[in-house]
Amino acid sequence: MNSTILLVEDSPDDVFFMKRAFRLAGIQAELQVAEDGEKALDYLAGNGVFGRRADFPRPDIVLLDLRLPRVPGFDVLKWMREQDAFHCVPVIVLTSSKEDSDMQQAYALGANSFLVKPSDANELAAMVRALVDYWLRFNAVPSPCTEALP
Amino acid sequence: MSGKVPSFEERVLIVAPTGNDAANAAEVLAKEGMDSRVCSDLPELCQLARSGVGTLLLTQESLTTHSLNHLALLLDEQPPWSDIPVILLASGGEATAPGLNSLRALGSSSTITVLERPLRVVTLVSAIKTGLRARRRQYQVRDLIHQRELIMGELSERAKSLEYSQRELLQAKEKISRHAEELEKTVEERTAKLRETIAQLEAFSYSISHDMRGPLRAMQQYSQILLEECRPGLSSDACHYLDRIARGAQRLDRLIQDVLTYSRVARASMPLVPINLDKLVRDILQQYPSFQPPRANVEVIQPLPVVLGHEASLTQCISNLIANAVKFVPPDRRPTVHVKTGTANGSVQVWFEDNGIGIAPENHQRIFNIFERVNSDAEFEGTGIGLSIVKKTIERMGGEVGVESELGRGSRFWIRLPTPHHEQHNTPR
Repeated sequence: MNSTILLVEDSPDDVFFMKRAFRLAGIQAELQVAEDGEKALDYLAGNGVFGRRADFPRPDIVLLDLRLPRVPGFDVLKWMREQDAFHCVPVIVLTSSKEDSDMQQAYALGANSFLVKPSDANELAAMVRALVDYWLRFNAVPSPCTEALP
Repeated sequence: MSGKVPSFEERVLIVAPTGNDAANAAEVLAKEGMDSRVCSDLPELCQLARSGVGTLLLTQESLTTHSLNHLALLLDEQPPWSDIPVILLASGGEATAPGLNSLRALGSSSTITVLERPLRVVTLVSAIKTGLRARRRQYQVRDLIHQRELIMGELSERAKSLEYSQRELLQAKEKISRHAEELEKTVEERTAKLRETIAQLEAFSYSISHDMRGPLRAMQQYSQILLEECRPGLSSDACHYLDRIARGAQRLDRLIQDVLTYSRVARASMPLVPINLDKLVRDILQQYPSFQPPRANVEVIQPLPVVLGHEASLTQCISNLIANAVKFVPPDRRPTVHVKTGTANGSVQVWFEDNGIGIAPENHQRIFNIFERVNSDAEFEGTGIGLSIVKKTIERMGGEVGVESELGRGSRFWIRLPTPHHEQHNTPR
């Protein structure tokens, strides 16, 4: 079964770079995009069109930006950690800078990793390759999280 | 009473209009060493008595209705302490004479001694002495009362001035407390303003790091993608410009990161702990290929000491210093850096000696200021912030930083930090 990665990112540029990095790194996993925090919550909860899980599969990992319109990234993270269905889904924070306060809050809320977006396209590709390898190939999560709950 | 006795107050005033009584009495008193004055009538006596008198000596003959009025007036106007002794020489067997009765009526306000004639000198003298002694006591009482009044007056003056001082003191106290309140208010206001400014600055730098770096990343990556994916269709000029765009973005990104680091260093808390410098420097050297052969030789003369510092901040400082040491070297020379230590006055000095281009003495202070640069970007790329981060950080850790250098003869940068022992020594203060 093909894995799904949910990218929560409002910048079309960063979405473009990420898609390109996926291509360059030869990643098979499907990349889904939510352009703001609210869409991310709808996607995860399966609200509206996102209820069609064939088109919008449950993500195996979430790449989460922090500065997002409508619902901030931290709120998305917090909500996920409160849901049995998403409690164990790896969340990788992907943001512009390593602010101490952001890192502390992210880890306190249950982020699995904190990454700063690279400026170099090749570096981004290498980073994406590494994180897909790690989180989708080597990392293990308990069964409640892998089951196809709503 | 000590000193000269005022003559009038010891004087016996005598009135004896008929016969030789007056002259005789005056003679007797003079013999006894007593002062006296013979008056022609009672009105004169009363007049003299007003400026002081020891005792009055009257004969019955001197008493007429008219003269008695004068006497009554004199006795009436006496102050409470005064009771003028009066000795009356009565004619024998006529004790009920009208004059005498009238005088007795005055007895309520005066001490009257009646002596019958004929009388013996000794009786007269002793009566007069008794009168004078009584009068002396009265004058003493007068003086005491006077003194008491003086003291009371002074006391009330003092009380008044005390009251005044107290009032002034109270006013001053009120003033002080009002000032203190104002001061407290000002401090509170300033603190609130300062907090607001700091919060704004923090929001500002947060926004810079998040919102401004996005577009820069886009510039860098799009130009990179263009160069990689569309190169066959691009002229060499176009490629060159794209490269310039990418590098401009990169440079601005580094500038932003350095400014953020500087502002973080200026406000972040820095708990100090003992740090093993040997390990810290070794880790830094392993981390950067530019600090290793063949690009550079960095030699650490061990052992480096244990110092008190904040590990992450100290790592940043030493990385910056070594990066400068290997950077500011003529292109044809291989950078060689010596890291070594010296101890002085309970603090540790670490030296970073390079074989670089050196710094003219007039620039030694300037290079530690933010955005100050000695060389152009074409010669050596940089943001002009690295050394100001070092200075700010080392100072916040209670240390010092400096440089010894001459143009063309390499530089010797040093940092001085407290040692753990030194710190323990200082802690109780």
